[in-house]
Amino acid sequence: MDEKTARSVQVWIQIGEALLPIGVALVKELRGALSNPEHLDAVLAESDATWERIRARAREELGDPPA
Amino acid sequence: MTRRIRRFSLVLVLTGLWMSTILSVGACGHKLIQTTAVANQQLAHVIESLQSGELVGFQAGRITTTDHQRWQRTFDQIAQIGLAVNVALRAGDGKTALAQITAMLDLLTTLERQDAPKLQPQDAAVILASLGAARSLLATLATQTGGR
Repeated sequence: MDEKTARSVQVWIQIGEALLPIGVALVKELRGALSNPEHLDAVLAESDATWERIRARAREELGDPPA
Repeated sequence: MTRRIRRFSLVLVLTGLWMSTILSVGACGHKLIQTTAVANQQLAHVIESLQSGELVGFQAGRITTTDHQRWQRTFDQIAQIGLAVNVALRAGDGKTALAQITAMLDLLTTLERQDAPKLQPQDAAVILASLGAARSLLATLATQTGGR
């Protein structure tokens, strides 16, 4: 395998690695949410936590004080 | 270059189809709030991985400080909207959630059009795949909730 092909394969593996867990999690969460309405609170709480993490990291990178 | 664009388009189309199928199965009637909540949660994970990908490029010196700050500022704005979507969902307000989703879609479009073309190949593949996934997710949601 030449260097260019190897690099291309590596990039595709990276893309797969990035998207696969998201897909699996999406299916799992969707099944959970549809079968159990109370699951919604847990989904929203986890979602809030992730968005807050993104905000905190962005503000850190921008040198802004925490919100 | 054309080959790379074709590949990226293929990734985006496949991701879009995959997410549309999943969401179409789940999104019907009163289940819409739940489906939107799950999609928003997954979107947060996609944006988080996008943020990490951008950070890797910046730390390796492939993304300028100005561009890095633009990316991070947009991530901050997207995250604020993501939080607002959850507030709307808790209130059962689908209309507001849709407005927020549309605003998020606009921010992602700006990133795709103005910032992504400046990326170097090492970062472009991963970042564009995440961007495409996020965009497809939002576009599907906007359609399902009655938007554009």
